Amino acid sequence: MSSSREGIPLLLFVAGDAPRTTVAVQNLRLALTEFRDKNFQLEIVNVLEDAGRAIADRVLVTPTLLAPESSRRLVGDLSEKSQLRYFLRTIEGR
Amino acid sequence: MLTSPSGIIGLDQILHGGFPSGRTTAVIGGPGCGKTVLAMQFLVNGWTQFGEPGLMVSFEESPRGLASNFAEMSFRFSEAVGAGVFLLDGRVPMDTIEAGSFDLGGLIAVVSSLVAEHGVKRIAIDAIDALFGFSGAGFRRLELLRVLDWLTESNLTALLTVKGGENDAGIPGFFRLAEYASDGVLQLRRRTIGELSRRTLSVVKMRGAGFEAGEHPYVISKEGIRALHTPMRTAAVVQSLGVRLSTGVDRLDRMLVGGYRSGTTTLISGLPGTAKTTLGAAFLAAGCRAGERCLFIGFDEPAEQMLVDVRSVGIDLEQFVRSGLLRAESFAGGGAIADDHYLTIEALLDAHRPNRVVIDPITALEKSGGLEIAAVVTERIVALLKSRGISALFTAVTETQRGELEATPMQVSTIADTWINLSFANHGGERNRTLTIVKSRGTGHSNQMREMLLSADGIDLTDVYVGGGEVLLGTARAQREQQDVVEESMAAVSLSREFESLDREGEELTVRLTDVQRELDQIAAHRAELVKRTKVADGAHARDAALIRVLRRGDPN
Repeated sequence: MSSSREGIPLLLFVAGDAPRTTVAVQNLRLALTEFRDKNFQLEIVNVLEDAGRAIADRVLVTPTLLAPESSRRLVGDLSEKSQLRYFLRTIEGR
Repeated sequence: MLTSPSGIIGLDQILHGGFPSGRTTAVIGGPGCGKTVLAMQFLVNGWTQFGEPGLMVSFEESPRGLASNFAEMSFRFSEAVGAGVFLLDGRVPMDTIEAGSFDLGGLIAVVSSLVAEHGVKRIAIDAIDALFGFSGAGFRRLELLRVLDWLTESNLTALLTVKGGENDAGIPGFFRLAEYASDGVLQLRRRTIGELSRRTLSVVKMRGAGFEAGEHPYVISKEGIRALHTPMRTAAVVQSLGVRLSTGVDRLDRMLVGGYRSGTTTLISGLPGTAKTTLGAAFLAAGCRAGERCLFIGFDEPAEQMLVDVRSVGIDLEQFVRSGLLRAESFAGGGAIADDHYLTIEALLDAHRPNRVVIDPITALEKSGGLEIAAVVTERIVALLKSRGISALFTAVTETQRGELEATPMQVSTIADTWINLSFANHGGERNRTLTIVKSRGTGHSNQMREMLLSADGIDLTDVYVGGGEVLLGTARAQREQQDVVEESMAAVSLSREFESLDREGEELTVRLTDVQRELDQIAAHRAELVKRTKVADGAHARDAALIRVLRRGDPN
């Protein structure tokens, strides 16, 4: 349904400004620069402020990176870089 | 300590009111123990009975799955869901890959928002271990403690279900951690005996709150979980002796100085075919005639068959079934675990409210999970009946004639107030029924064996023949009694003859004695005559003698 012109949507759910939030955001931004980051459209959701979206998307562990179009998700602070790259490649390839 | 009742029958009594309010209790158990059912009842009853909103965080089952599981059950799940009980789908979605360390910040944020939104007081976190399946031990420990801390801060009454126990199906050691970190621990167990499942629960700990220690059986049915909590202590309190109730057999009433005492338990033991059921039926018939409500619980034989059978000995129970005084039910002993039978009996007591109950035979419970469980359940049934002041009669089938008086299976004889043993005596090609009162608390009962006679007129007891060191029954007794009568009359005849002959001899002798006396008198008279004549002659003789002595110069005399 989404248009590829606007990039593939990515949702990063975090719990406020916890240490894992910072690490996850840094890891993700770094990885996206390795890709042509215009291909992705990143939104960061703070579950402490928007629990409704966490409920809707069944996010109970943080951080969670969700690709809503494919329902694929990565949980953790994304410090396992090879997992993150593989995830982004899979999403982009669709 | 304030408690939050679960509304689960038996469990709240075991927990002395309910789960500690504002605390977290871990519910630990293997698969099939009913952890989810327990958690859901806690929430649904919390809302429907106590007006406390609840939240179910389900890590294994989808809300749709829960709805289909619980819609069939009779507690008010459908009514509560959405109104006062809220479901949160906590399942880890498919296609989730782990990429670094994470925490349950999201869970806490989501739950906090739902708690605030609905004013939730009770929460159940079902199978939290499912969430920890894919991460390291350090994470589990930290995050579990974090969740528990948060629950405590939020002042929620929480149940945390965790897989674990003997046949541990969960994460190794995880339940130990939950056990250690929670305020309270309720352990559920399930074991298989033959083809039957037996479930028990025990409180491992309950910080700052009292509870009933030990293993408590429980069952899961359409009504949900129900635990067996029998007021054992109350029942053990010495009760005042009840009034006498007719046993339905006149002679037995007399032997027991009026009958069984009300509110007590009577055991009728005996081999198959000794008319145990008949005595039970007589007891019920006497109750119904006195206008008392009666309940018959038969095992392994249809109750209808019993009604027909006892009609042949003049006991018409069918009229009382029709009038509604008597309820007769039957079950297969091996069809359910003894705990289930207990609950069935409890439900029947609630429904029919009887004054008298007969369980025939109580020993059928052995087939419901073995001797040990049957003994415990029987004790609980006795305590239950006593706590309600019900007069009960159990029959017990003994296997062998030898040693039947020493012990009955399941130790029923020790808890029964009155114990009557029925047996057979074989003699002269006959089997005759005997009845002996082995014990009767608080009664100066007859200790004599009686012969029990069954006829179309009912049950009668007769004295047995005791003589010459033997006990005779049946025809032998009758013959011997007849023989005694003959012997006695023959003896009487010969005795009177002997008296007669003695009297005759005595009379003869008396006559002879008179004759002899007369002869003696005649002899005496004749002698006296002779003496008189001799005295005259003597005087002349003396003078002659003196003269001769002088003439012969003899010595003086």
